[in-house]
Amino acid sequence: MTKNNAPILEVSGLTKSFDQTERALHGVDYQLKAGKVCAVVGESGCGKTTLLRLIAGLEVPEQGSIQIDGEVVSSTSISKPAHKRKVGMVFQDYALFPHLTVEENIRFGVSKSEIESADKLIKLIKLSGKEKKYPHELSSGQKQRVAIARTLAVKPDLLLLDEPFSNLDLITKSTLRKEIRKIAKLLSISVMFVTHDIYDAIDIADEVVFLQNGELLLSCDTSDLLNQDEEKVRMYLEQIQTQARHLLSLKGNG
Amino acid sequence: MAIKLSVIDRTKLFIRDTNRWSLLTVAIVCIICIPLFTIIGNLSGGVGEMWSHVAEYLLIDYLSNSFVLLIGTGILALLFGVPAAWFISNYDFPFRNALNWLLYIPLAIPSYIMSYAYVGMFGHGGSLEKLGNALGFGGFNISMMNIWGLMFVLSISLYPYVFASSRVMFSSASGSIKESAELLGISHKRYFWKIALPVASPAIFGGLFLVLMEVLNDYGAAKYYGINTFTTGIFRTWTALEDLQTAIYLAFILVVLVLILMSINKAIRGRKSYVTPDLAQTDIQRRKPIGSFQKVGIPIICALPFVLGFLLPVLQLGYWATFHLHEQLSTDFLWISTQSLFIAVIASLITVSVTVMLVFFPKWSPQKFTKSLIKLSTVGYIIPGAVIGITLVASSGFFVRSFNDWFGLEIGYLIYSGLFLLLFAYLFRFLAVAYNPIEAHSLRVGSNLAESAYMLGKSRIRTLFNIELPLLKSSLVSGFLIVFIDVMKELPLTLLLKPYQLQTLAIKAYEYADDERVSEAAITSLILILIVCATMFIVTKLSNDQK
Repeated sequence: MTKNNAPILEVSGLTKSFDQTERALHGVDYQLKAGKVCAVVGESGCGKTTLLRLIAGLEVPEQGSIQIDGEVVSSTSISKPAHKRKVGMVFQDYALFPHLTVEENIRFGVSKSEIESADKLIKLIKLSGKEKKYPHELSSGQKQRVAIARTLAVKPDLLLLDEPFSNLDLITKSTLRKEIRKIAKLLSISVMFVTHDIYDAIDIADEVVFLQNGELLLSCDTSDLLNQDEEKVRMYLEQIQTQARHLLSLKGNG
Repeated sequence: MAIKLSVIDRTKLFIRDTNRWSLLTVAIVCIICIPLFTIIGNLSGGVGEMWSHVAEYLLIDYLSNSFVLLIGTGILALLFGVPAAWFISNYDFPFRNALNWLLYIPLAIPSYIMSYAYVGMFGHGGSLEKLGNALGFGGFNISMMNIWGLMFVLSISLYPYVFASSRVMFSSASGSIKESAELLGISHKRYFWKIALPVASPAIFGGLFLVLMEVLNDYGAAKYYGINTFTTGIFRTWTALEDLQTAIYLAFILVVLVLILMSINKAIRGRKSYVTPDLAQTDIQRRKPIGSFQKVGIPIICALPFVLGFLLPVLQLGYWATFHLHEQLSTDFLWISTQSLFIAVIASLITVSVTVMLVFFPKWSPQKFTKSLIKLSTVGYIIPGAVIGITLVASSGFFVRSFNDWFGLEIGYLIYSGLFLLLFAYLFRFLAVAYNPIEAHSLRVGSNLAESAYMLGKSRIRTLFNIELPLLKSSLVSGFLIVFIDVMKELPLTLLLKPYQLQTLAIKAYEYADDERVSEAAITSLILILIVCATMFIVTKLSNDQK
């Protein structure tokens, strides 16, 4: 179990290229403290998803290392398989098993003794009554909930979400943002999610990481975001500054 | 910008990324490619004793006959396949739907059986002559036992490859392109020559390439018609001249010929994109009705390949079968059918199982080279059966001798009296047949589902059995059935490598014909055709369901 304020995730000098020519990530250093929610923000193709896939163990880095809960899971000499890292990941397209029902999807990763707690998640994530449905019979928001419940059912140390709100309408998106934060805090789980929308980051993250062309531009607490001097981040924020201030003030008042 | 890594770093990464799946992939590919290594290994051993005789008197014959056959069969297969595919894709006419399926059926008749049937129909003393005499027109026959007869028989039995590939392209032509052409005032005829045909040409050449591969692979029909081709030459050099080394040299030349054909096919395809949007709309919505003259002409053009490629040979076989029905339908016959089915089922199961390993093991390995290695193991489909057979005889001889010399073990009886060698040969020859649909389907399913199972703590093997294989069920069954059809029809490999006691329907039909008892081959042939037809029907249904 991770001690308070100890990093659940530590990446250092993480470098990854595809086809030996184009660098997807270069020398990324970052620490995520236990229980925190972190948003990885950046434009398309900046390496956000690659960072997540490296942490999950779905890709291997060329340089650098990854530690999860104090254990080195990836370096130039070690690569622990994805299924042994105790990391959960929700994919952008949800990746629900089409031949299994909602209930079977959620129970898929758990042992028989844990089925009961997995079933509780169905209620928690507001899927009661949908247990026997197949993925194709659900809306995008419901599919996203199933994907999250399924990942939480295996009690990961770290939850990774790849563009979790990209396929949702505004209302569902807003509801789900709140619920993800609530569940993360309720279950004391560390979360790292990728988004290209700064709203998502401000609304639910404790920390924000900016990536640009595969390099880490900045990482800071969400509350410090507007005080940053970094020009590129400012440019990024200028477009939505008014709305961001409004949102932050609402969050502060709440 | 590329990452600069030192040799030590690269070595470290190589070791890290080499897991048991990379090693297993390399091991499987190395074992499967034994026939390829044998050809290369034996080339360094020099030519055999009979090489000068073969080179002086026979090689030109093999080369010229094979060349003439390739050209002639190719042209005829195009003439049978392309117009039929065009009319079925673009016009509405009586019996169109039935012909759409019937035009594939000639594939169910192995070319050697087709060759017996045609001699029986048109040859001296054949059905046509008897019919002429009976009707009082006098005897009439067409000599089929020559290269032109062989060319016709091969093209009528193999044209469905061209038909299938052209049909897909013609029916998926973009409706908007077609409409644009109409709005520009381009006639239907001009549209065919200027747009539809160039767009479909890479696919048509792909189908033609398969026809040419089968021509080079053919043994039974060429042997029956007495035409010296490379494949019959390889057989003769080994069995009659007893010179395995020279047979392997001939096999090497044949492989070079295949590689040249492959390069031509690749060059024709080039880098152009022939994919059009708005897939398959035209097939349903935009077919043209036809005029009164065409109402007769088009159905005849479309029905002709089916009549020549299926109806007539089956009628001839049926006619012969009536003479031997009572004497042949015995327990012996049932036993041969059972052996045929058994060996086809076992070979298909092995091929599909190895295919699954070759599709998934490289995915589980971070080593990129394993993915390109797989291509090497699927080249068997373009290597003629006779070549595979000869190389396996040579390589198994090497293993048997080595075991004897090194360990004093006599394993010859294990290799030659069992099914091992034959099943291995089928695996090498038909791996691509199963690999292509299963690999394509797995790409369509994508990697996210498996990855999300890994993230839920499931191992690769559990994910494979619980998630990936259930989703690939239809292509696994299709792959199994296509290999099953090919093994049921296969002749040259089976003839070379079968254990003494083994009998299959294909071998039995060939033996009857080889003993000049061709009419007795009819029942065996008809049963074989029936099994293959039924299997083809299931494959078509499965692929329609998958769509």
